Order: sequence, then C-alpha cells, then structure tokens
Amino acid sequence: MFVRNAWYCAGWDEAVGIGANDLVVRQIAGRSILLYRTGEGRLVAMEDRCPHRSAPLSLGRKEGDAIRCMYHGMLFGPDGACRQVPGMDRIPEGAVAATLPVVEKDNWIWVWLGDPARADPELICFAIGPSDPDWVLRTSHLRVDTGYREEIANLADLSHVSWVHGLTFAGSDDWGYIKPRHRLNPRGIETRYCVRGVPAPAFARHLFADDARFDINVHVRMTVPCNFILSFAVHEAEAGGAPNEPSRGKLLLDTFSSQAVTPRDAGSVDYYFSWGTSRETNFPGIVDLMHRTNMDAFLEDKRILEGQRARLLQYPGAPQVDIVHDAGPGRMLWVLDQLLAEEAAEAGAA
Amino acid sequence: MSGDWISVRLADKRLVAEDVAALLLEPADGTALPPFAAGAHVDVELPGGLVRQYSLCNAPGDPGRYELGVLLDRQGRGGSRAVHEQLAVGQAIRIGRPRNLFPLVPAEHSVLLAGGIGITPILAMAEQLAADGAGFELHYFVRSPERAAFVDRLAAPRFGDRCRLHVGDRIPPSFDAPALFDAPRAGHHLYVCGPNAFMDAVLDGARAGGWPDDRLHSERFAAAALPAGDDRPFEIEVEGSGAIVAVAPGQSAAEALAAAGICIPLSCEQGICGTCLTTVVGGVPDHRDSYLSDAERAANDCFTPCCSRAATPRLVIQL
Repeated sequence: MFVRNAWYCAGWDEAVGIGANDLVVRQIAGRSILLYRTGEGRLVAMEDRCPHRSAPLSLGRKEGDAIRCMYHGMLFGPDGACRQVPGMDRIPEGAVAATLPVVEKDNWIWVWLGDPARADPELICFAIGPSDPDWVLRTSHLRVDTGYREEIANLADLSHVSWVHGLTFAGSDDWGYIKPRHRLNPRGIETRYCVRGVPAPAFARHLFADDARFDINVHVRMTVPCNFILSFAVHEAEAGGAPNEPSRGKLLLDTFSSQAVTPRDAGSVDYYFSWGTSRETNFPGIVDLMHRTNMDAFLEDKRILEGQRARLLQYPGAPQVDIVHDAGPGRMLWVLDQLLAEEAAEAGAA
Repeated sequence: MSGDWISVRLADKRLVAEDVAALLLEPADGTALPPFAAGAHVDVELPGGLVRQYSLCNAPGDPGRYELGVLLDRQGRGGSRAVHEQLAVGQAIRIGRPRNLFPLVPAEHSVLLAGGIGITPILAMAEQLAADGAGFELHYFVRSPERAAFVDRLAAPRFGDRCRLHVGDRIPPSFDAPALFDAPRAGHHLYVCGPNAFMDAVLDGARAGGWPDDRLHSERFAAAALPAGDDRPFEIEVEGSGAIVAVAPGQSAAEALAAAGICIPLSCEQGICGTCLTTVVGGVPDHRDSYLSDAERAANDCFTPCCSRAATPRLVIQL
C-alpha cells in the first residue's frame, strides 16, 4: 500500500521545537513516528514505541539529547540505543528504539521509511521553502480523511479546479477543458501548460476590471508518495498562443506552492502546503489573501474527497468509468504502482 | 478489412434470450462460405458503415452457413443496436473472412467457460470437441435464466451432461471453482470468454490455483467493440534506442512493447483516459481511441498504444 523507500514529509520544521514538551508524533504510512530535537536542535525521528512493552515514547520526557519512557523509565539516546534500565545493571539485548533517517530541507521535515542505506537526500522532492529570500510564502497544514491515491488523483488532474474551486481558485470553467501532456519521471510526473485568456480567479475578481483577461503558466512537478510542487505564474493575456506553449504576456504575479501530502494510514492524509509570490511581484496584502484563499480552497477539496471516500467505502469495488482527465492520475499512480511492485518483488526475493 | 468482403444474406434472425439475437447468414450467390475453426470471428458491415466483430457459434463442420449471437448493448457504440433494430431477414450484408484469435489446441480435456454472450465462440468449441469425441466440459454463466441463450442446443444429446448452466452474479456457488481451479491436471486446457470482470475472476482464480499461462486461453470481446480496422501487423521503432518491436494482429502496441521490456503506463486500456499517450515522430497512427480530438489526431504527433495501431508499416515513437 505504501512505498517504503521514499522520503515522507513530516511537516513544517517550526512544528518541532526544543521545548521540554516538544514531542511531536506523526502518523506516517501506518507507523507512529516521534520527532524531537536534541539540545543542539538536531532532529531525531524514532518509532513512537518503547521496545519494552510498546508504550508511546511521546508520553515520555526529554533529558538532554535522550528520551525517557515514562512507563518503566528506560532511557533512549538519539541513536535509539537504550542507555539505562532503572533497577537493572545490564542493558538487555534488543533494547533499541528504531530510528529513521531524517532531513530538514526547504523548512520541511522529511523521514525515510525504508532501508536506511538507501536514504539518499537527493531523492527529496524539489521545493521552495518559506525561508527562501526570493519568495514571500505562508504555510499551513490540514488533515483530510481520504486515501492518498485519491489525493494523487486530485492533484494530478487540475480540471477539478473549475468545479471544486469555483468560489476560490477558478475564474471560469476553462480548467475543465485543459488536456495537458504529462511527462514521466522515475519517481513522478512533470506537467506544463498554459490556461489562456481567463478572467481573474474568484478570490481576486474584485481587484481587476471585469474584462481583464489573464494567461496562467502552470508547471507541476509531482513525486511519490504525493508531493505536488506548483509554479503558477499569472501573465497578461496575449493574443493567440497554444495551450502547450507558455504565455509570453507581461508577468503580473509569479506564485509558487509547495505541497506535500503524507498518508497517515489507508484512510487519512496530512497535507502540508505553502503558497505565495516572488519577492519581485509581491505587493502588500496579496500573500495574506492567497493564504486565506488557499485554506478555503483546500477545505473545498476536503469536502469532496471525504464525500468520495464515504461513497468508496459504501460501494466497495463498484465499477468506475474513465474519462479524458484521468491521464495525469493514471500516469502518477502507474509510477507509484511500479515502485510498489518493485518493492514487493524485492521483498519476495529476500 | 483483411481479404475480400463476402456477400451474405440474413436468412434468419430471432431472439434466443433476453437481448440476444441469433443471426443465420447464408451465401448470397450460392457459393460456399469459407470453412472456419471453432473460436473464429468475422467482421460484419452494419447499416451506417459500422463494422463489428462477432464470433461464429455454429458447428465448424456445418456447411454453407454462419451463425452469430449478438447481445444488445444499449450503452454501446451502436453496433449491436444496428443489428437488433435495423437488420431484417432477407437483407444482404457483407462480412469479412473468418479470423481466429481463439483457436482450440489439442488437449486431453478442455474446460470451456462462458460468461453471457461469451457463449458464442465457446459453443462452436463444444460442437467441435463433441464431433471429435474429445473430452470437455462447458460451464455457462448468466445473470438470470432469461439471459441464457442457445440453451436448447446446449441440452442436445450430442453434448450428454457436459454443459452446465450457472445462474447468478460473477461466479455463483453452483460452480465448484476450487475443484476446477485448484488442481490443474496435466493435459487440461481452459478457455474463457465473457465480460472483462468475469474473465478476470476466472483467470485470476485459475492462475492462483496453479494453472500455467500456456494452458489458459481467452478472448475479450470488449476489444471487438473498438472501432474496427485492419488489424495488420506493424513495427514500432523506439527512437534513439535502436529497438524495433513487432506488433502482431490481435496484440496491442503496448502489449508488444511490454513483451520487449518497454513498459508504457497503462490505466483504462480502452483508449479513454490517455494515460498511455505516447509521442510519435515517424509513421502514421491508426487512431482507435476516444481520447484524442480530431485536431490532435491531425497533428500526427502522438497515439494511445493501448488500443491504437499503425496505418503505416512502421511507427517511430519517442519515450
């Protein structure tokens, strides 16, 4: 169900502080992962389970760079090795809490669920973080009760923008008629197109004349498990121009959104996202408006995805019809399934 | 169409089950129709220029006529509606020569499984095996008794008690699946034809029970619902790799590429979703999808290898 050898986003770096009570637990692909920082601020990712009797270590106590399980007092270092069993002189074999490779990049925390020897930081998806000096970005987080395959299908096909986001992102139903070509990568897809001659989106309609028209250059990079990196550049509409060619109209607002969807389990995901403008095209108030709109829009997605999940559970295995907009989801899920099949074959051979 | 058209006359047409019409075709000019083997199908030219493939279901030794069974698909693309609503007894129509992508192979015992209208090639197989005195059993799965076609033929003395009817959804409990699937005996071959979900259930069950692929034979009639064209063989060259892959009739371009180790992403496999869309840099595709618009087809720069073929001997693709 989940690719093991992949980096999973465990949220924004600021969520894990160095306070005494900063013990953060994330549900990631069916596992409970404890995140904390040592005194030097170094991140530790550890299975949130004491190897003694499975008590959550997140109910424990930070002691320097170590964590003490507050059930029977066992103390574990940041490498997971047990340092002390109160009342016992020797540390029993196997008294090790499993740790996971963890990396901070672009203000995101990434943990690797698979073989630590293969935890290559180069495989972490490209993103732009809120601390990047060239961008003005705001971040947020949302839980959605849906499967991550449904999230992939949502993000790999933006035709839904017209219908789901009519009160926020969409200014017309033009998104429902785009038919992009999706380039295949070893761990995802890359898609570029231009939505041409559209009115301002609903959330910014009041800022422009009624007859103002825009071209939007869209560049999406998706990677497994479900990372969605979006460049969304608003240009003055130019005459003519093909949907698969970028607009050369004057750049009005250069926006960027980094979104990581981490499956918690089979039926829920954690969604970490940012949106904002380049420093150059920024103007007062715009990023605040985008930030509010982004949350409103993702609540629109949440509503439809959770409704969909309810129906999927109610009608298990019911036939589904394919349509022309399924190419992106089809490709992204195919990439995912290839990786899952490879891991299944490796597991079978081992 | 491969080969020449044959002119025939619709000698009889009657409903043999709910929504199933049996058509009897006789040569228009009194000359003999080409012989056919069990499992064969013919192209049928229908009013409005549609061409559809239907399996021959009469006994292969039956001289001078072809019998077809056609299920009315109200949601279909119009072929079966034309058969049911427009073809009239006595009418002259044209058909292609029989082609066989689903032949019987010599076996000690043949297990024939038919779902719904998939009975047509299976019935011809039963006729052939009975005439040869070969061992076989036939299981016919229908959703309701009214939908069982050709039951009088299946009850004929020449078949003894070898034909069983199973009524219910998918694979009902009257069918002893474990007995059949779980212990494949040497020399036994299994044939299945029917709706995709039924065939998947049968083939998955048989494979899970240990049936080797070379003793499983199947024909999917969903593919026959695609726009008909000439299923000629062609070649695909993968630009820059030097790979040249032959695509056989009855094999999709994606299947041929996969067999050569070149995996194309697939999803619907019916030319609807566009997941497999592949760049074409040479040759002319024979588009059979419903994904590309006319303008996109005219651009001649891509095709859907799950179902589309080539109008030129070779296509050059870019991965």
